[in-house]
Amino acid sequence: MKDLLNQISICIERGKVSAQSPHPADMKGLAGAIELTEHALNNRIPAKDVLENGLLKGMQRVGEKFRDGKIFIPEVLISAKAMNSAMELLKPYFISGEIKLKGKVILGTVTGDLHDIGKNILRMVLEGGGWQVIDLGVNVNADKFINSIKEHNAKIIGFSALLTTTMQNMEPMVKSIKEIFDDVVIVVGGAPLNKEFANKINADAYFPAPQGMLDYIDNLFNNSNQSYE
Amino acid sequence: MSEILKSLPTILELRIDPQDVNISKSELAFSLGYSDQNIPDHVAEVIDQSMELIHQNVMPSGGIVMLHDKNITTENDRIVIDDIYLMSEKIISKYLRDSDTVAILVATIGDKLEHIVKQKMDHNEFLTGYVIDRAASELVEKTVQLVEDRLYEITAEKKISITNRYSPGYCGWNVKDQHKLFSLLPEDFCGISLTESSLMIPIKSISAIIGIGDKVRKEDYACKLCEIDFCYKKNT
Repeated sequence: MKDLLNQISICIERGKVSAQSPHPADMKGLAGAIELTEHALNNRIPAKDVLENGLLKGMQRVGEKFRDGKIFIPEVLISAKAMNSAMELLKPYFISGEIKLKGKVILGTVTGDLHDIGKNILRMVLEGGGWQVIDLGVNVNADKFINSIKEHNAKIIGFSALLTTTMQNMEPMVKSIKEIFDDVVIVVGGAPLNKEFANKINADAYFPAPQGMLDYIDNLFNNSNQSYE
Repeated sequence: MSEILKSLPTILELRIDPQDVNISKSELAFSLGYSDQNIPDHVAEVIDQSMELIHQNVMPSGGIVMLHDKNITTENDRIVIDDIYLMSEKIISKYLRDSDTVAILVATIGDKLEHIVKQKMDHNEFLTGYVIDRAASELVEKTVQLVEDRLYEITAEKKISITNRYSPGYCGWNVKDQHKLFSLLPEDFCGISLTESSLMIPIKSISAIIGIGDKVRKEDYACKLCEIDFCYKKNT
């Protein structure tokens, strides 16, 4: 069992989606994340083990390599695609309640801003990290975030902006949301932002790259009694 | 000097051949963080597959508006064009204040690539979408460089100098000034418009100002001028 889970984690780490995937070249023709996950579940390996000791373990190594500058965003996206493909097979187990995602995160590009590539990449990375992402899209105002928080009972929000004008919209948005939900964690990101700006607007955290947010919310998940579901 | 300035064209809309705006596989790989030696085979393949799509859908255009019919002065570190006050930060204005006149440049690669990126993202083809988006960003930079080169040719012919190119949103210049800058351009110039939040549409567009005159000069490395530590353009 341990060997099979390790193989799954390697497929995720190397971005090997299925046997048909021609990449990486040295794994051509071998079973990929989809087949190995299917095999593990058919052999009654608990879905929780497949998720935690196979799939997420692989993504964890991807995160470490990204942090160390050994890989770049394209490879993170390749691994996240393998992860998300395998996660499809776990859907029935999520529905039955046998396994659970870590929690919910609401993402959106703030009012006035139409840039979404960074937010989309973040979504892919967070989903690959075992979180359910509610993506509100672009040009999202505080009311839309507030309604979504209420609807999904989410505790973590991510704001993105690419313009120095639209990043200013974050401050009143943080204020409006915190006034109603003081326990909601707000993480901000986007090219023109920095930690000082995040502190100034009373956001809880800022990260220049998606992996930073994943590590941060994973840490919240692992070290607090709060439920993020 | 004023006679020389008057002989410059006022509005120039450039016809840019899409073939003059291209990006090589190596350049694209580099912009994604790789060299030719360390690029993963999967990423190399996506680049290979995307090149034709990228080059078929880049629609470059650009233009220059020279403001030699306007009164250009400085006041408390701000550049004043007739009654329009630009910039509140010294970083850029000190390099423009000796200008006899200024030119506003715009460049775009159109909206086809941004639609393709959106389609790819919507179909969960994140890597392809990301690669095309990076290429589009590089291509609009190349387009504005062609526009700047054209301005250089025109001014060099008259033996006058130009400054570096400065854009709202960089070097401390508030991007809100984009509206003031665009008020000096013909409406919908080169097909570029502005949203209320100063976002240019198409998204892959650039606007900039350049000083022109006898006493101005181009600095070797523009980022050296700027004291802002946190800028994603820094050292690129």
